[in-house]
Amino acid sequence: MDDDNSASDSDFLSIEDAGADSGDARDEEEGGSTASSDDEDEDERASTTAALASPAKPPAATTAKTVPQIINDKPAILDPIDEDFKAREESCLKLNTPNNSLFSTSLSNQEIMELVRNFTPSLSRRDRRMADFINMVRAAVDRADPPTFPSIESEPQWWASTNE
Amino acid sequence: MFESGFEVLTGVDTRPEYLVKPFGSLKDPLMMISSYPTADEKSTVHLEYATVNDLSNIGMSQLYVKAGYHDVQTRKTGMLHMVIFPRRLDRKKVLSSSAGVLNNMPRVLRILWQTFAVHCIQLSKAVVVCVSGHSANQLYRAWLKEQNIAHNIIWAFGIKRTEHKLPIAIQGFTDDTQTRMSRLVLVVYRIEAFTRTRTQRPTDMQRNMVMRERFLDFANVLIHQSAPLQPLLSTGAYLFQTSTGILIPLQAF
Repeated sequence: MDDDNSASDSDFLSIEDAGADSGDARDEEEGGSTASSDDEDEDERASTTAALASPAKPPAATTAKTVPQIINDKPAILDPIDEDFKAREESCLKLNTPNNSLFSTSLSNQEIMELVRNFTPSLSRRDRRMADFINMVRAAVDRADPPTFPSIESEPQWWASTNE
Repeated sequence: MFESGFEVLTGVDTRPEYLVKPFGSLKDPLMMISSYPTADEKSTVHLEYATVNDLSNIGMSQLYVKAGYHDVQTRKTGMLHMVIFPRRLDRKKVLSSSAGVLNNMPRVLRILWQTFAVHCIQLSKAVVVCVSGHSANQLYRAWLKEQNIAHNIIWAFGIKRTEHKLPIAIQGFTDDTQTRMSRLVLVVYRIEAFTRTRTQRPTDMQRNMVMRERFLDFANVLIHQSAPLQPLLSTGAYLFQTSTGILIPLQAF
């Protein structure tokens, strides 16, 4: 059982890391897309300059391709997207398993504490204070003096008085 | 629907007797802050409920169940529940509701009740506070700033990415050195947001929701040493019906 939980925790960690990575990757993708658009602009400018400088050439004759050739000539740019999608698909399937800690309905107190503690990796890139956070929360709760609710033992024995 | 002459504002019932009242004790270790009671017949079964612990309201009912108040043997202490605007509001009728419902309320009326809520927040002995929704989050952080209370806001991924992003938690400290923590504030979405994002498959958004709910479990463990009904809000692991009180754990086939 412990092994299963530790395995699921590690799954969660990897997914959280993947989530953090995906967020940063998204930022990087945004930056990358901007860079690529700039490159495209430069390419367009370069092609325009070249077109003005050189006389127009007749378009190259296109050769008809068979279907297997088209499949083999698929653009390489599609591969990373497919791999990324495949990884996300696998991570979703992994999360869907009953032993996954994030979606489990029967975690122990210790496992919940560990789950929150394991949330650290996604914060740790810029904020490594999560462990301190947990410790300080524990200290604050331990130090607090919660009001005591009257217990059954503190109730008067009303049945005894009634009998009397 | 409302009596003529009393519905001064669209979407808000201004009858004096229709103020909902706070519920709980200032000595309770747990405090919950929400925005306003709803006047939507589809979300609230019984519109004349007198207190903020409106168990006929679907969202509130789920929040109480999540806090462990669905069973008499689960909790030993109570919970203080504050709303920052205690009049029932129909979000669909309030004009420009997309920009924030409370901003469309009369300023004098809004400030009166926000002042009362802030006063109770200040007097409360709660060590853990659950803030539900953007309006409650804004009020609590405004109070922290106004009182010049040392605090640390914890964002998901360590940064505030969008203007209206909700933090995960807020640490309140007793001193500026931030060595002794006085209060933990957990910020969650409105319960309706949890319900809206339930899906058949776990998505990034659903993981975010479950993680937020896990922080509520974390608070339950800290205060009461038990976390029942996990994860209730963000998954379909339970069948919960407000009108009948049915609560059945489901099992994946």
